[in-house]
Amino acid sequence: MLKFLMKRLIQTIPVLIGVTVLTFSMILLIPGDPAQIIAGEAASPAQLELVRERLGLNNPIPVQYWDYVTGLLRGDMGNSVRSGRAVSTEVFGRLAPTIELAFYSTLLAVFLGLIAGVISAVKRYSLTDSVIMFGALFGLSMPNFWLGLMLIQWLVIGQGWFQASGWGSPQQMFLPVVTLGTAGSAIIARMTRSSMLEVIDMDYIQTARAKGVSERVVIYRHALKNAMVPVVTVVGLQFGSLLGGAVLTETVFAINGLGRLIINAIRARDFPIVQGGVLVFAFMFVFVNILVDVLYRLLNKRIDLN
Amino acid sequence: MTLAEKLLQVENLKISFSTGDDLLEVVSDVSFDIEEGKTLGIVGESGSGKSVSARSIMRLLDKNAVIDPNSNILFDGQEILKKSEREMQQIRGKDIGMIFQDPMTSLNPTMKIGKQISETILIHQNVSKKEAAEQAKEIMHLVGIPDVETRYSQYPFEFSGGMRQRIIIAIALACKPKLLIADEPTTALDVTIQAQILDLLKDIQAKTGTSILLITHDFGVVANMCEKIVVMNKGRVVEHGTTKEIFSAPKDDYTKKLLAAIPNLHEEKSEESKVKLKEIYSGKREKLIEVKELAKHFPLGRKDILKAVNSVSFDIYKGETLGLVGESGSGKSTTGRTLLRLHEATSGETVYEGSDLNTYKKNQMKEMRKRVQFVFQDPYSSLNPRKKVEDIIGEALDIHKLSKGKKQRRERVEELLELVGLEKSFSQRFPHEFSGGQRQRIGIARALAVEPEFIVLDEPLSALDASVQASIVVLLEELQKKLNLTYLFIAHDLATVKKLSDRVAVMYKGNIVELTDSEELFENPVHSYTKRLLSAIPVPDPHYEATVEKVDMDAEPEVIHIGETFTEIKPNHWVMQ
Repeated sequence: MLKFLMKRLIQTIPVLIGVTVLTFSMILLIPGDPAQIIAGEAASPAQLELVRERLGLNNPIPVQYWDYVTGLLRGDMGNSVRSGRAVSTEVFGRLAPTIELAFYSTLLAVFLGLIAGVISAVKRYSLTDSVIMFGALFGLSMPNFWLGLMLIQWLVIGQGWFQASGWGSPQQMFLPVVTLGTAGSAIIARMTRSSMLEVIDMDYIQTARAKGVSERVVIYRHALKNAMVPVVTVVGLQFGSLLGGAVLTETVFAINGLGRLIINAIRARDFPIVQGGVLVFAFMFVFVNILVDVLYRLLNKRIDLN
Repeated sequence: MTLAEKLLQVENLKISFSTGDDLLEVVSDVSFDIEEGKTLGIVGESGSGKSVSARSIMRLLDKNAVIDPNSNILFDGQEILKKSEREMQQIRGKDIGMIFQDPMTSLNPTMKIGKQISETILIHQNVSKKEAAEQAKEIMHLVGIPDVETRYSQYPFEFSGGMRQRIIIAIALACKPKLLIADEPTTALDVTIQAQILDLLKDIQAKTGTSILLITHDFGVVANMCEKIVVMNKGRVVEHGTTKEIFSAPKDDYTKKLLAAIPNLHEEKSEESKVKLKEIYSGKREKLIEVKELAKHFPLGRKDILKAVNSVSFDIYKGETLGLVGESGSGKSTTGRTLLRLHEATSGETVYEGSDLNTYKKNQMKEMRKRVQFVFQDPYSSLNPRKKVEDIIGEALDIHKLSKGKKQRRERVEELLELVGLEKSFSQRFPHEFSGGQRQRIGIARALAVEPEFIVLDEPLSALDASVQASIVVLLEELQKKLNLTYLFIAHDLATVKKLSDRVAVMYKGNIVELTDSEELFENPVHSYTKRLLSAIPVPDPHYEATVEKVDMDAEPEVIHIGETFTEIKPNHWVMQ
């Protein structure tokens, strides 16, 4: 297992290098002169030159990249253009709400998705099944910012049960988590259903029944664990897209997370922040997927062979 | 006989499946009984209703199955059909154990072996987890699992097919049931493993006194195992009686047909085959293919290699059938595929009329494919389900531009269908509309489309029922005569090989260990693996089974000495020594 983990970590190195290349090239690819943007419209040519010199923009591109990467390794992601503070401080300061939001949403999505998927599969072709699958399709097709707005309209403005902005108290956290988790739970429910249907027809389920195992235990101990294997993969990918979804949800619910930081930075053309934020998102995505691989192996021992 | 001695009595069992609005009756008026400590065999082909009948005893039928209210299943004095689901759970695994057909899919892949066995014990007996584990280990020992302590906490993928079947038997036996239902317990296994498992079942019966209901399509297996037999066809019992009665004097036509379909190991070869052999041995017949030290290795990961075929040499003569026999993993299919360059050979030559096929370029090989063809094992997966039969067979004609225009193509396809004993009109249908035997005929027609001279038949019979097998054998023989074909017939089943082949090569672990004409091989087997293989075939003759002494099957195959050199120990009888 340890060997596997090491191997997976080593395999991520090229991916991480690729990610840094992309975030680095963002500066080169965006229209306009970065120095101009940083120094402001009114800057004189001398001031511009000074900014260029300070940021190393006169160096050849490979050298600039090298400086960027060695900076990253030292934990230096540059400074925010607007606030002048270190990008790392800004980005990591905003990370906690985003991770919490993604994490709770995933929990909710897995919880709802698994229950709905299993019920749907066990009661296949029944009215319950149709209702759940219709609900899942609905949840999947709804844009989450719209859902967020509707929930605010109904539960905050209408009923006054929850708060519509900020992060920390359960009243603040509930709606954003529901908003973000809905689409995920819909995907997981559909995936669980089809995976369960496949497993329920397997011979070893018949073996379990022939042992005298009760139907509930057959479903939860024998079928679900095997059906989970493809579901785990989806959950991992889902977590990644939740990070992306956080950008919208944080904006709708005014949460001071990483997503909102990036949005504001884009508006203000604060490129070092955008660069840093995207980089952190990408790294998180990569490591969550390593986590999924580990989980996948724990569930499916047969992969040990390869 | 008093009622008390009967453990199970099935009376007037009638089962239907509801398909939409219709009720399809699959089991009609089936009655049989089993005495305590005895074995009853239910024999029938696919679709005979034998498995459905067996599962109804456990009440493990699909939801759309309807059991007629006038049916009775009396087990140990209790009416099974009146039990609630909860009561049935008390009986399943405790009083009745069940063994399934396919050991590869019947164990939960994500649960440790030991836990799968102890689970049954924990459900039905009031014992601690530790005690259950102890009992499970004892049972693993009983079913012949070596190194129980390690094996207990392994997963199914770490077990071979035979070992898995032992585990499934262990699960069924965990609570010492009064009745063991074995549904085709050896169908998916090699003959030597089959012999081991059947021995094990007999042994267990002697030790525990359990009754066994054995469901099978194989008369060889029942002759070996059962005191009484029920023969089923199309959902009905057509004959029942003691094993000896049925084998010596079958009354029903269907039973007679089934018994006649069993290839007889002691049947003499036809005159034609004898003439053929004489010509081969005297050098009058030309060689079609000379295989010289052909080898095929597959990489296993970065370092290891799997030597699937380890330098084999043999000749195939024009118009003969060379049988290639071996168990799974022996390299027989790989040999066949490498021969036709469906795999690229690692080394060695396949000399076809003077030149080595392995040196052929792409376009030369394409020309060659008109002359050599392949028939696959599984008639269900080897036909494209989205194509009409006309297009499946016609594809080869298109590739080699053998027909001009649609009309000629259709005529040729229809001609081929008639050649393999099917109707012309079948050309417009899709594969799913046909039975296994018909599909295999379509597969043969496809191979014949290009008018080949040599066909590799890769286990073409193993997915088919015995009576269907017999008809395909007849077809293959007729086609060989009519079209002057040469066959390489690959099989794991020695009996059919004997019937169809002029000479037989036995493969073991990538080597040909023995090669001679089929009669000589069956009468004087020399290599210890050949002997083992022959001894493992269940002979469909209760008298024979009772008298013959068997090679000890529990010996690990590792002790078999393969040998170093292929030697002609007497004229035309080659053995690895």
